[in-house]
Amino acid sequence: MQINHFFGLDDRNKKLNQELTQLKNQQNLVINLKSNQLDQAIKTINTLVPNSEDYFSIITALETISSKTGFSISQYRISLADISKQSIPIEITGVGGTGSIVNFLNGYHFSGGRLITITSLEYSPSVTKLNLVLNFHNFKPTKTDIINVKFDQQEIDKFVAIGETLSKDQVNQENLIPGQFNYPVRGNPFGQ
Amino acid sequence: MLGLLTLLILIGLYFINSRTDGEYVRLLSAKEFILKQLIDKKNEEKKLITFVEKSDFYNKTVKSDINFQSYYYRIQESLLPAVSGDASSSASIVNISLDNKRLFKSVIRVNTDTALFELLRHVEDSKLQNTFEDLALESFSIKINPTYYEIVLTGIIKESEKKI
Repeated sequence: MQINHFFGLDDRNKKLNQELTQLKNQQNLVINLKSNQLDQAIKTINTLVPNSEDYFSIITALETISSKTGFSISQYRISLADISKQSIPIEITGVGGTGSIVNFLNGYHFSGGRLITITSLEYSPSVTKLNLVLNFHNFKPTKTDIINVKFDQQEIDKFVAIGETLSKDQVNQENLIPGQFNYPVRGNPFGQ
Repeated sequence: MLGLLTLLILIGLYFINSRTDGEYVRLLSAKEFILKQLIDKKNEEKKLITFVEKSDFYNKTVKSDINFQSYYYRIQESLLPAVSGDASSSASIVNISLDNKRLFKSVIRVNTDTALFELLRHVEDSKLQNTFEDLALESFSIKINPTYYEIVLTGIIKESEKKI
């Protein structure tokens, strides 16, 4: 009877020890976190991959890539039938020199400020014309439990760095606009 | 003798019991301490879960995308024979299409019959098996005034080891 009682106590301690190990892992993840950096990384990733689709940012992303790379987009086409829950395919046609097309293909993943992937590409070198089917992605996280969450600080650093690159590019773009085009620039496109 | 043995066993059990209870109290107190910290950081925890899930989605999506630029160059380099002699008579790519399953279609133009034979010989070269999973001549056409030849090749390019 007494011996069973001892085994019971031992089991109880083992279970508590396991629980404690799990809590310590959780503690290590959360306590050592650099909160400011996490906020910046989340802001960047929410811009690249919004929780729900935002058509305005798609057009802005295309225009940003176009002006950054010199690849001139002449036409967009959205096929409503092909839109899925997490992605919107957009067919674009554009022209540009080999250099601008290479620049476009080098930096399309995030340089427009949205996550873009390519489904297909058609290139005619003699007329430097490029047809592309691009995908814009959105994703709404659903997990609420930290158990089994594998975290890597380098991931936060990566998105902080992407965010900084995008901010610098935005500043450069804003500085370029008044010099390049001779018309008044309005900060708010819907304002007076 | 039996009495002494019983006494020793009871003393042993008492020590084990005290030690196990002591350990239990220590573990409970450690759990309480960590839980208090975690409750204070509940908001950070929520943000972290969101970030990890979203960055996983981002990384998987980027990984599933193929490096079009590198595939384009590989197709171009492999299909066009090296320029020999008169560069104006050599083959050039008119159009190339490629999708994320590595299926491609390419229209290649040559201006002379010598260049055409050179191109066809090159396309049939067994070395191209190193680059393509599948390669087929889909069509062939001759245009006059000015005269040139066009061949359409289709196939699947092998997966590149180099990731984005």
